[in-house]
Amino acid sequence: MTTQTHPQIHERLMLHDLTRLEYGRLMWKNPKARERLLRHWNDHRHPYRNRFKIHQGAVERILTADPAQDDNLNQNLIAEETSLRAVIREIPPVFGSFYKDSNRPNP
Amino acid sequence: MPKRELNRPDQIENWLTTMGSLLMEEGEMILIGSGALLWHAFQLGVKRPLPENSMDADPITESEGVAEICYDQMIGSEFESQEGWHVNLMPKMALNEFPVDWETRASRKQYGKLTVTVPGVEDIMIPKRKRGEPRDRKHDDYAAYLKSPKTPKKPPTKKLQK
Repeated sequence: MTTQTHPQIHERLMLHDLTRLEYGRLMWKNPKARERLLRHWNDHRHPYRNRFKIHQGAVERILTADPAQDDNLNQNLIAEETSLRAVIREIPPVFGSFYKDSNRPNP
Repeated sequence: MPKRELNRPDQIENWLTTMGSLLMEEGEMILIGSGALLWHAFQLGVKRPLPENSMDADPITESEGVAEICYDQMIGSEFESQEGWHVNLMPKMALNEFPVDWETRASRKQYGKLTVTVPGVEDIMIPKRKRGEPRDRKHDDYAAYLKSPKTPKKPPTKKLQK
């Protein structure tokens, strides 16, 4: 991993937004990690659970997108009256206090 | 939760050793921030603690296995309740705070299947100096101490090969 050029939109995102996007994408690639995230985000204790149900499609769209095409993705999202930054904010956070429980199916 | 936090060089070394043993396949990490200062301290044989405790270690990784372990060590995790500090994954963009040639001054060390790259002390200090908060200034003093510690030891690491 080296210092490299990024899509322009990345320059305008906050580091914590980029963190959620980059690592969300990394985890999403692995089916087991993806299932675990989905279990966590749908856990009854997760405060974003209902919000995630509304935005799940958009969240999955950006998590599966090619990072190199994020400028295009952002333009498309703007045309749909949202933005990459706005959708990143809909990626639910991970709560360390009960993330460990997502290793097994939700009760 | 015990108020231990992160301030001793051996805490970082032990964490990396454990992480290397947990990895099932090869993985890599770039360590920045206060944890990186403590890493350099350990390699130099310095036992002096960081003057202002840190709450977290800041790794950057493109390895799924490393990221998965880090997710289990984030704020609020069992890891944090046991160790008193947590892991805070950082995006690749954080490397843009360093000069483009930072890798020529970086060091690398292997921990089992984990390869850890750590920027040079001067590079680590760039964002801290830019921020300039009281704790950053104390860390700057610590960085200066690392340049001429009283009990120097040849570091068992090697410079990156370009």
